[in-house]
Amino acid sequence: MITSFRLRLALLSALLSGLALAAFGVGAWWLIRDSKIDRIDGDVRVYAEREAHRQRDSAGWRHTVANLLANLGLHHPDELIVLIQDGDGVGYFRSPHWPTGLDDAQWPWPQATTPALSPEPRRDDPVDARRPPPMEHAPDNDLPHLPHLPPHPPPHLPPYPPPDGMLEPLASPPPHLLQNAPPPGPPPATLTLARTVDGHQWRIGLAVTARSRIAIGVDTRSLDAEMNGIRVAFLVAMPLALLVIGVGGWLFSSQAMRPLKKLIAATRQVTAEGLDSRLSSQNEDREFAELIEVFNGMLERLERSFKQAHRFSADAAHELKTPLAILQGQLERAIRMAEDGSAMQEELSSILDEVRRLSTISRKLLLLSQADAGRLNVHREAFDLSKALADLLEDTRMLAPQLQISGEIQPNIRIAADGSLLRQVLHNLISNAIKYNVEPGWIRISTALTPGRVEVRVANSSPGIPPAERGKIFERFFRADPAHSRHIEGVGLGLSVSREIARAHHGDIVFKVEDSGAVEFALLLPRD
Amino acid sequence: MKILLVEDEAKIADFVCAGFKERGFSVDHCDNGVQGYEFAAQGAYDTIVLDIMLPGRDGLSILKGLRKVGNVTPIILLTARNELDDRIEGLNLGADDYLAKPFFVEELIARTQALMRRVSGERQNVLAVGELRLDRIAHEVTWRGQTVDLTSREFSLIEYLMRSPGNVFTRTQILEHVWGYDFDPSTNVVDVCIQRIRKKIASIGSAAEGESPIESVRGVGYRFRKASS
Repeated sequence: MITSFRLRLALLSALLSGLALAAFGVGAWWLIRDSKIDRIDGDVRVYAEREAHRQRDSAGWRHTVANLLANLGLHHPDELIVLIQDGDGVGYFRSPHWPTGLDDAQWPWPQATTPALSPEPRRDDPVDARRPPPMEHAPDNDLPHLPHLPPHPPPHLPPYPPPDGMLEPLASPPPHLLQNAPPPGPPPATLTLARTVDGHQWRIGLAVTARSRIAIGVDTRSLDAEMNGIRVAFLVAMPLALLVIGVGGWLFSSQAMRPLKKLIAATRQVTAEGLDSRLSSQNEDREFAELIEVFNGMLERLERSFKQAHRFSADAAHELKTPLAILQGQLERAIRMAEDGSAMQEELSSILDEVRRLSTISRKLLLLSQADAGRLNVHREAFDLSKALADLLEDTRMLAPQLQISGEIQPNIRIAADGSLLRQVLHNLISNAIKYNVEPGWIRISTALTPGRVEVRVANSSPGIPPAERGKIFERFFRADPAHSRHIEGVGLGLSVSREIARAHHGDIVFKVEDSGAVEFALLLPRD
Repeated sequence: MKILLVEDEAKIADFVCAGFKERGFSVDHCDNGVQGYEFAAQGAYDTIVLDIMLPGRDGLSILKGLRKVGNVTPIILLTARNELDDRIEGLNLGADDYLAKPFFVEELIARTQALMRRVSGERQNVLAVGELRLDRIAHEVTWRGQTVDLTSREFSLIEYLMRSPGNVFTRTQILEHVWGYDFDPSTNVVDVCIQRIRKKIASIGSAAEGESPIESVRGVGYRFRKASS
């Protein structure tokens, strides 16, 4: 399936115009051919009709044939056939190039009109009693009454020397035929025929008078050649036209997609930091202007609710801090004033622990809301990562003496970073490694330096993170299912906060490898 | 030792003042920025504890104004607001330290003392309580004249306790001072660390169990044994 709208548009427009062009081409081709055939038919009929009354000797007929060739626009003598017979179908003149397969015996010659019965020419006159039977019944030796040869060729037919050997009269007309020319009779009956011989189609005009009949036939081969030329032109032009249309459609759709592309680019820009950006709908088409306005409206609402949500969590965290500070300060004081080792002091101390827990959560929430708003600013100063990791390694050994803890920390890794935030990240990674361990387990803390980057890897033995939970480990308040293990402290904000801090340093935290029984997280930080 | 506290929240001001006074500081308190600046500008304080959000004039503006007129009194900022930004701005404006609310008064006092030591030129480099001596410069602890090999965490823990002998510190207070406030409060790292210090001292001095300089206060925390004079 084609997923690009642009490509679909271009292909569809090419397909539709292709179909339209093909239909037009076929139709036009047929119409042109039809009208040309009609014209040929009309021509052969008119010339047959005109020549039916003429009386000529063979020289005169030779002229006539030459003239016919010119008038019909034919290029080659064998494209024209002429047959002259008397009224009974006895041949008098036949073109020398007569195609062998063309059998004139089977032609449906029309009936000649009889002057006595019908002075007005009517083609559908009933059969004249004196008319000879159709040609196949005519006796071959019966000489026809041929038209009388006029003294001069018709003035409108210019003399035209026929090519050599073009005309070969069957026989010389008998002298009496030339002398006893009858007066011009009623107009001859005419008919056109189509006959195909050896792949050549002949359009034949027949004209019959009372005493003679004439057939003029034209080979359509030059018409076919012409039509073939037109077809080739179509076949060549159509792919070109389709290509132009397709490319045009592609370009046009690209033009049409431009506002959409702008919208996509703008939507990409819309992050928590850039919610205030708006698109200009000026100079855009009406439909796109509307889309842009709707989009801007949506952005407006999004920005408003986002700001509200952000302000809410920032305000909430802030509003929590003052009462927490009072609570903590007063508890601290009460503990100091209580008798050392008393039940009261112990009670107060346990309350204080809970207050600290609340403070930690509110601080993390505030940190996250700042990160969401893109305002997690870090105060960069020289930070000795190696030293911080060494301290952390020591803490880990204290916190988890039951685990086998190893560290491969390169000395003197100094970066520009916010120390208090980064310590928080490192501590979070290590405390997770302790919390989600299996006994008897191990933890391995190592560093790797690449150009421009430092990587802190914290790996530990682990029951493994189920595949379904792997995508969620950076989610807020997510905690790996502790059902199968011991109760695990924490609220599930650590990793998401840590990642925000890493990102604010232009670094990241990635979940790196998990082979069977081990988990590794890597903190990536830029190095100058 | 004279402290100026500029803090509008009365209850916070109460326990901060009380805490300082218990340690022998004298404290002046202002509950608004305008008055706070006037007091601070007199320049008669050893340390100023300055809240950032104040009525009248905010803490950062007071800090800026003081530094502008050449007042170099050590200043510790307190805030409940967007702590990262305030910390960055405050430190850039010339604050000496920073404490986010909620905070422990013990921690505030410890930092104030540290600041004053720094300003007065590190006079108190050696702490000695009973038979334990701690040299901050040499980073060395001796028990009955013999060196105790301590890690950096152990060293800073014992220093914190030694500064207020006889005073109970809760686990979270210790945790916050030594490890920073981001450590999980439910961790037992403090207890483990104390046990290690005790073991190290005991292995040297053949001291009996009851003789350890660090005493446990059941369910609460620890305190440094006062020198029995």
